[in-house]
Amino acid sequence: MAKLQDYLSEKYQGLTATEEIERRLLELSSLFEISQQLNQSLDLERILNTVLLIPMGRLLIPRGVIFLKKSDGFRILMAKGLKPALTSFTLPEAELKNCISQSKKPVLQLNDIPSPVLKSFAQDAGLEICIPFISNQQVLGMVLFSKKLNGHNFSPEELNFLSSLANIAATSIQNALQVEEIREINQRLDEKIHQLNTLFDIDRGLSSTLDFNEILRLLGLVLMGQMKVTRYGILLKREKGFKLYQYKGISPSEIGPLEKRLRKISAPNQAVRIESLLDNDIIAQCHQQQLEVCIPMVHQNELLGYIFLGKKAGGETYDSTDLEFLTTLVSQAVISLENARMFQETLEKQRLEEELNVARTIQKKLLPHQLPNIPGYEVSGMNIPSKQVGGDYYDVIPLGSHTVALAIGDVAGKGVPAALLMANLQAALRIVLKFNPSPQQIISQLNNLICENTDRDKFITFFLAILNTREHTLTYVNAGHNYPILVTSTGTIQTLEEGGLILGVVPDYPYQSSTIQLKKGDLLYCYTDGVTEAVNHEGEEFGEELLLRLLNRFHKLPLTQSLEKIWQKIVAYSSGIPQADDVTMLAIKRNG
Amino acid sequence: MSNFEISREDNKEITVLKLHGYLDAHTAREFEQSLANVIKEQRFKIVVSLENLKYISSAGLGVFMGFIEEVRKKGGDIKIAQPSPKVYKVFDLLGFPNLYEFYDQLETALKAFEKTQQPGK
Repeated sequence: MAKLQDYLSEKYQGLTATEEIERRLLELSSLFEISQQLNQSLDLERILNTVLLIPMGRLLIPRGVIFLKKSDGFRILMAKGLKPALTSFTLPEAELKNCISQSKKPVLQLNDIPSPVLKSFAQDAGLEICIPFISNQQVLGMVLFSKKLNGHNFSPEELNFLSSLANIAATSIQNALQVEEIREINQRLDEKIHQLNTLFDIDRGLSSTLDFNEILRLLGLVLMGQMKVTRYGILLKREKGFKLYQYKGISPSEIGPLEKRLRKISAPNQAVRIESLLDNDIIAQCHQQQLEVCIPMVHQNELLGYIFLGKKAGGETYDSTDLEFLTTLVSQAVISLENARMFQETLEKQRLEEELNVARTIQKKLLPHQLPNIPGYEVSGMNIPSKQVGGDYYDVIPLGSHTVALAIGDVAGKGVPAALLMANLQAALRIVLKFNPSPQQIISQLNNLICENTDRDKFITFFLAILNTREHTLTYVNAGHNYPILVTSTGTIQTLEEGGLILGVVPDYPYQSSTIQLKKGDLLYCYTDGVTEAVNHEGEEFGEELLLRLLNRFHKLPLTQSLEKIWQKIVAYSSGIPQADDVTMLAIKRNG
Repeated sequence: MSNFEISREDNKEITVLKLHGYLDAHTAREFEQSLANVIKEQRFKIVVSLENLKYISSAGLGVFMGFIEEVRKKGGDIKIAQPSPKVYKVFDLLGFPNLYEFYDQLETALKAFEKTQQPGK
């Protein structure tokens, strides 16, 4: 002990040995305390705090700053007693290159600092010494301290203490940095997992519905939740350009210019920030609407629309991970949207098909199953509905012992509406016929009835004739129907044109009737436009001329057979082309 | 099929929506509808209690984003109470705690409305 005291009193002149030992012990216990504290903690902030506060307390230092290496250079991570204006100072990494490792001193005085930038900062901040943190020959950062408060210089022992402290701190800082890095990686991993979950979740959600609008709505929710946005717009491509379909926080009345302008650009192939779009108009309009990101909706190389997102509510910018995620998310949603669209189309087709079946059934039930026998006359009718089911109608209704009504008509339109109007007409005709023998009056009544019951775009071409089998007279009214053709046994032709306008357009229209005499062998052939307007491959119509020739040729055949022949000619002529209209024929021939 | 439920309690001028079960892409619409109804009644002080919420997805978070601007513009707020650690983690991951007030207790969430008579942040 005495030896040690001698040694110490020699070394520390002016201080008693006991004092000195106590001081050294204090230093050592400080180091021990620091070492314990630092090694227990992996929290960087706590470590830095300890590294500053303990020397400041023990050595009475009023100011201390810690720099750590970041991607853009050395930055101040913690400072005590420093003017706030100075805390944003960054030291470029190149400034320190080799500098510190060249200098062998563990503690650098102001004048030893090799970087002029750091030196001038230290002068401004009133810092005197700089101790680098070195771990594995890498400079992690450094701590700078001011002079002691009492103005004394640091003693060699104090400098020693500080250097030991920096040594211990370097290891702890290194550990904490690694932990922080792992934490960041974990955070990123969590984010990725969450994004994957989101994709999985939206996939389940989207595929559980085939409702197009529901999918768009859901997509909107996910975009808002995942990106923290309060405004977005989904614009879909339509025939005339783009149209805002689903949105939040955007005023649809102000989006017009953007809708128009989008036609002019070619779509980016993934989610991009607005500024990357190559159109200044669009960029300006998006800025005006506070939209920051544009995501193209592409399905099999076909652009279906765009999604625009507003700024993130937290103020963060969209990074490349976000854009990547948005691209994936939207391309997934697009598949669901396409599925939904195709499903709707199929559904629509099925519905149409069912509707046509209904129309076909109605029509079939309204047409006569069997025509009545008319003494001295042959009568035959035929109706072949088209795929679309037109509204053709024919009927033969015995009225008295020697009068028969013949009717043929074509209701405008197709499908169920046409079939219903035809049903209406058939019912009305059968009732009016019971009370009224005059075709002229019957037609007028039917006309007024249909005018009352239907819109102006619904109308009927109609031919009605009353045949008197005793007098062999035929009194008829032709309301805009294809002229029936009378072919005599000698081959002369007459068309029955007297009448007036189509039914259902002009109320109280004055229809005219006409009466003709039927001779033996005379054939009256009534038809609808499906006969003469049947088209061939060149788009040419069957036409009346051909029909007249056929009527002459088949004149001598039994009536049913001759209609059959005409039908076969029509089929041969149109050779498998789907025809737009029903084909309907009604004919009578006087035999006796 | 749907394992999600919402119950509502009106507490003077504050409406409490309690969510139960799984708030995902499937069920987000139900929550959206409930919030829309509350807002339609001009009630803008809303606490959403997540005590019994087992899961939340982005679509669920989206519902919160979809109403917050309007509610705050009208001087109200949507505060979130009693999230489970698992549910809170999802909010936290996406940075929601910077945008919304979270409370461990329903009581403190309700009291928070008394303190701030002015529009939220």
